[in-house]
Amino acid sequence: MVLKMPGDGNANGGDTALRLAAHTDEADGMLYSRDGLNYLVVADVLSDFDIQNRTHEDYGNIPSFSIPDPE
Amino acid sequence: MKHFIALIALAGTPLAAQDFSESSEAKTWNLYAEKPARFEARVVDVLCNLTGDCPDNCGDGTRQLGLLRTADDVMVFALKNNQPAFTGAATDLLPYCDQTVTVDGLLIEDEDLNARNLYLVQTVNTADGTVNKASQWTREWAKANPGAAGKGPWFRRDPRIKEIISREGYLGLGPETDAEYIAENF
Repeated sequence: MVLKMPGDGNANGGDTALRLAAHTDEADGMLYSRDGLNYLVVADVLSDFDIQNRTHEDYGNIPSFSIPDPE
Repeated sequence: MKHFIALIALAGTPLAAQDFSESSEAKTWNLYAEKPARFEARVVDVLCNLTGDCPDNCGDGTRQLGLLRTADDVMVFALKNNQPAFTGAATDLLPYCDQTVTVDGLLIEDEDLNARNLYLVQTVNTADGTVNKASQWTREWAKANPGAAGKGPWFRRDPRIKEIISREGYLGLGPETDAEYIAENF
């Protein structure tokens, strides 16, 4: 679970998390563990490699309604 | 020797998995590894709990919130509210920041997936007996986005999402990749 992103005061739907969703990134920060869950507080995003895992090639778009039917 | 055995038995008690399904009225979402669970907990700011960085009122909606369970002091991460619409739990739990409530919903527990203490909250019961459905997210979104009124799910009308899709496409790989994929699959 990512609890904080750099340059973003909002960890509940903030812009940085939205921009980086599904991206592969190299980051620096702190790892916290409690009750079997790991939590990340990201201090810096060192590299952003954009989307590397093209899941639609194997599984189609997920969920199936994520792309509206053009009709 | 008896003392030794007794100590082992006592030490084992907190580690044993507890069953919180009794008295739960949670509705199934037919999710893999879901288990109905009703328990008392204090609503906490997860980042505050872990780091000591504690703004007022659990960050006023800017933090992820958890449920510090009374029975065993386990911090359960509230992943989802009661709406099937890509909506988290923090917005619905914020009114109960630092309050002790009884929640009902679905725990996600699976050893093979290494998933534990993840929760989908369906109702929040307060000390005065009020039962509140955890379905306020879209109402709060509508208040924050008065210019996005209309039919259809919120994520089709959200300005931020529309802007990103217009630039990066639905697949996130650009409009050209979208066009190729749609031509082949729709």
